[in-house]
Amino acid sequence: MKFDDKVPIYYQIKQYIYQEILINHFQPGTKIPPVRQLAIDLTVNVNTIQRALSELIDEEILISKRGKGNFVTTDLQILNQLKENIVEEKLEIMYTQLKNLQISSDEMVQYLSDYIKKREENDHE
Amino acid sequence: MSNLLEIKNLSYSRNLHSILENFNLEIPQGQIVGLLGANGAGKTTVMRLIAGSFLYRRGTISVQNSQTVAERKSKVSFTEQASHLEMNAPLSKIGDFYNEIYEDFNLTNFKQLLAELGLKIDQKLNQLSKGNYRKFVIAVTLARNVDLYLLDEPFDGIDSMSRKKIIASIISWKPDSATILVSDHHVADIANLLDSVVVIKNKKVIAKEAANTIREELGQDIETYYESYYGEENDD
Amino acid sequence: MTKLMALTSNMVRNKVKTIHGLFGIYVLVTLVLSAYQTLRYHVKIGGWIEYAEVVGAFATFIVFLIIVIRTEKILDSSTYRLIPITEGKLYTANIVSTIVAFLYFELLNLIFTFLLNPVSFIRGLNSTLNDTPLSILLIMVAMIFAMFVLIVALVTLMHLVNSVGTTFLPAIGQKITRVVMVVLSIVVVSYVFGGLQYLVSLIFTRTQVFNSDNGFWVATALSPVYVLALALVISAVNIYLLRNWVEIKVKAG
Repeated sequence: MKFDDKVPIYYQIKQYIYQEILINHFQPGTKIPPVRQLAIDLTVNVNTIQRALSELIDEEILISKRGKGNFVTTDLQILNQLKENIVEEKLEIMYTQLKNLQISSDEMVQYLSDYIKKREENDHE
Repeated sequence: MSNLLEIKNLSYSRNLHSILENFNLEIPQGQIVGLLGANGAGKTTVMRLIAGSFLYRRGTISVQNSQTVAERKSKVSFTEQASHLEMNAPLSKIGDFYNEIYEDFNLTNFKQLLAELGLKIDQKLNQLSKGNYRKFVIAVTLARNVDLYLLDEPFDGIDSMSRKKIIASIISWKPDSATILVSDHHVADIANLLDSVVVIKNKKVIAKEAANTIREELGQDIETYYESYYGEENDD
Repeated sequence: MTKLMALTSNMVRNKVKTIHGLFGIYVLVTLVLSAYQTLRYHVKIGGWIEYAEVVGAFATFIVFLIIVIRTEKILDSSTYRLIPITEGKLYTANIVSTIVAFLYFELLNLIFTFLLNPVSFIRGLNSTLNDTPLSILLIMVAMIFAMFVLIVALVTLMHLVNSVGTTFLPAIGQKITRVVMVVLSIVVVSYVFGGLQYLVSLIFTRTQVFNSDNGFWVATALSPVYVLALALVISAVNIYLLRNWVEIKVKAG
């Protein structure tokens, strides 16, 4: 994994784990790899992983079971909320950028649906 | 939390030429700390003074509240401890040597480290390439179980594959409570690894900052942060 | 912390390995030389022992040099200086292992010459024992031992003083100051050896004349003790230097 060295590494690791959960690499109720393994896989310090995980535990996305490891929550409400938050975050960036170009809300919807159509056709070929 | 390493008012000179003056440094337990500075800034000297192979007359150095130099040596594993070995001995013999001499040396870990780093135990020391020699030094250093590891330029002059393997060993073999002080002049190599950085310049520590603070509050990458103290100056 | 015994036995084994190599060369040289003499000049095989003695004397000198150099290298190498043990113990392990290795070489040498010609070896031993009282012989052996220890300690002292010089004297003018120090140490060493020579001459000559004189005999018997005591004093200085002044040897820079 490539990190942006200007952004705290623990923050980027959180984003990485969110993504792994959303795309079901880390499934609800399953155990995520041990801290040291994650550290080796991502070539970062154990302390950095620990910090990312403890924030995820605070957010109740991960459940820490003493002596067993960290598990992805089975609470669908939290997982759906997570998905919503992340999608909203991405949309927010797009919305702000398009708004800066003085594109109206209706145009925005039009552009987006056109773009999706175009992408789908391209990907089929 | 008490500090693992405490250096207070340390001054050191060699050939009547001052190298460190009123040098102060405190490092908490469990961290990986980058010791940064230009060539000749005194990184290796600081490590030798901590390890006890250089002797100081002014100031104090203590590791886990060590009282004597011998006691401090027992708490520190320094890459230079592998620098005057019999060059035609196989790695297995060298492992036996350390196993006999250092009570904290773990031969099983040493062999496992060698295997992970892709070294064969029956290879002779003088047959190793530069990159493999660095790996061997890391294996010897990490196979001791101590409070403080001093890694002096562990990636100097080696290819990126060797570097990745060495970094992986550092991550996987560092005991949780142990502290690592690693010096490097290519910060980018190890930036992801560091909890904090210490910059040495003009015989002193001129900056010490947590990696997260540098990124979060200063909005800089570690290399830029380091260069801001050395920028546009020629190394002498 | 590393135990004194562990370090000593490790150093003994390392130095004995060197001794084995050197002894092998010595035996080979002796045998080749002797065989050549036998083939060329029909020297009897029983006479080989004489070549062994000549080559052996030379080999002893070489072994002494090599083992002393190894002893000195240990004291400023980072591999050894980083071992968690006090400087006193490091020094002790080093010098003890050197003595053991050197004695071991002499033992191998004795066995070798004995095997070459047991009859002549025992005859020689007998005549020595008949000519000289056992007590004097023992004192001589003790004296040689004590002198060996003293010489090693003195070499170390010169080495350490020199090393302190390279670390602390200004980089400019190092050559001149080092020449001065070498001259100074030669003066000191020759002074010490002058005294030693006097002591040795007492044992080798005068005792045989005056060995009825009880008081004088005691003084002679004690002379190895004086030499050993001197070696201990120098060793104490060496340990002090190691602990407080002598750093590891660094490559240029």
